[in-house]
Amino acid sequence: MGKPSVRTQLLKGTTPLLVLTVLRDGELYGYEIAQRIRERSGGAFAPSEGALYPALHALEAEGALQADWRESDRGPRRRYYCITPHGGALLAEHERAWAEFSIGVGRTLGEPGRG
Amino acid sequence: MGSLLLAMVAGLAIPVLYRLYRHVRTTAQAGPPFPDSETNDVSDKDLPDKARVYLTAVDARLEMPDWLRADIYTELSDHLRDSIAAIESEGLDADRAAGEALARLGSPEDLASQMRRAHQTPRRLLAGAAGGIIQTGVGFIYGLFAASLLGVLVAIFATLLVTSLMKAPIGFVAGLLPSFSTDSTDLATNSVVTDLLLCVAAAIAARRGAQAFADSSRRAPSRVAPFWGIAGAAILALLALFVVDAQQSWLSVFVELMIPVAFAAGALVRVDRGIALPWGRVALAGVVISIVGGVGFIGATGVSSSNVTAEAVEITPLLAQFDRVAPWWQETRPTFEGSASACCGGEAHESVTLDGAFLSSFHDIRFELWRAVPWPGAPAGNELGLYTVDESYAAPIRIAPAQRADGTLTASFDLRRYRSNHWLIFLTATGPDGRRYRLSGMPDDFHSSFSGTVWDWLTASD
Repeated sequence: MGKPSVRTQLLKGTTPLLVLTVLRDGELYGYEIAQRIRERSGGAFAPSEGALYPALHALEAEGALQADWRESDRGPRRRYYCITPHGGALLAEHERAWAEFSIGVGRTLGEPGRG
Repeated sequence: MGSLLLAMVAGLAIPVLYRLYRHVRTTAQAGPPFPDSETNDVSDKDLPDKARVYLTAVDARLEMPDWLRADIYTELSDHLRDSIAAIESEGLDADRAAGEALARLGSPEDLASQMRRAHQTPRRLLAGAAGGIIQTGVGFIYGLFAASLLGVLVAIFATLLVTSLMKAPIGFVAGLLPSFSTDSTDLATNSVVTDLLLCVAAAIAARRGAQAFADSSRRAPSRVAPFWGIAGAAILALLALFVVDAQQSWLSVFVELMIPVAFAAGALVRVDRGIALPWGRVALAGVVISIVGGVGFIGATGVSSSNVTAEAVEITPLLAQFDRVAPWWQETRPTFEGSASACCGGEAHESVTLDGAFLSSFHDIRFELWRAVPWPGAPAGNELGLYTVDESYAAPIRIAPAQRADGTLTASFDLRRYRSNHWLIFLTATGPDGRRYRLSGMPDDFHSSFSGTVWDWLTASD
């Protein structure tokens, strides 16, 4: 196995934030979540599919998501995820942390130019 | 009328037992069964072979309860189906699309490992342990209830069999068997019955607890069951060895030590697949046990009651055997008021009344406790309970100076820590000629039960 790319490493810690963000708009199943993230990022990135399901199950175990098996309009029954109130609070916390983090990273990256 | 009533009770108890068994099984195996491709519970037939191989590889590494594995398998199947279709729509052929979809999911080892980390959290481990303990308690109560009902059923069946249907043939068979006897007043028999019930309860409790532990901690039953079974068995073994105080015999000690074994077996034997009992064989075993029990019962208690009376038995040879304790001072005819509180574990209290003037010519008056065995010269069955001193021992096991108050002599012996059950207590004293005599012809005989833990029994003297 090769060394993970920089993008993969950057995405690693943001998967819960991205998942909670797309689920804020409504319930989705796993594949849809990956697609929605890809769409909303303009195709710039999507979480590793191998990391997506463990993240979903971990958030469910934490009580941030609730999952239900439901018959889908097309095809077999699927496992839909929706965000819980605890998940909403967690998302707000993640957003605050990300904002602070991205500002900090931006400042750090901008320092050489300013000098 | 009594038999009819017993049969009615048995008839009512059978459906109750069955319902209980079904309830224990269904509640202990919560969650849907794992989808079996043979039964097509989860349709993965439309997936390419390499995708199914991948899913099987992930599943084999999950080490989770069946119902959770089923959920994950289905969810990943759905994902792969969507992913392959989407990649195919981009122009790749089916085989390459499947390879690309699997590559996006990463290695089965990594995915399974991350899934385990997501589910098998320390918090769930604690919850599983708590749930397992609670369900072990519930299972123990269920198991004890079921075992008691089963015991009553077997007892009723055996009684009916022995007293009405099979008495003559069983009695005939029992008469051909070597003579063996058990004392129906032996309190250790109660311990054996109780321990047998506890064995059944322990097995059911362990099974229920292990399955609850696995379910709540999201671990495979086969993974947690060894820990659960060994930890529980160790605790039960310690309790049995050092804590639980009961009337004991070799049989009761053996059965009591089987309780932790039953617990371990309940947790370990096919815990993730259930046990399908062959009811026909169980019923056959029940009949065999009842017949063997009936034979044992008749053999132990005798198939006929004789009319032997104490007056009709010539006991002079028995009295002569007591001379090995001390010769009898012929003039004495004391009044014995001995009692043995066998129900309390074998405390023997002896009280003897003798004429004070007579006693003044004796000194060093004492009670001697001797081990006893059934007198071989007694009529068949020894229904009169005649015992003689055990010739394996040359001296009394205990000696207690007589406590004297007027003409009454008393002494107490604690018999709780002796494996022997039968005892003779002699009153002896040194006579005017300096020799020791026994002051009664017939000694008092006592029956005791060993009372203590298994460890006490194993380390006790005979």
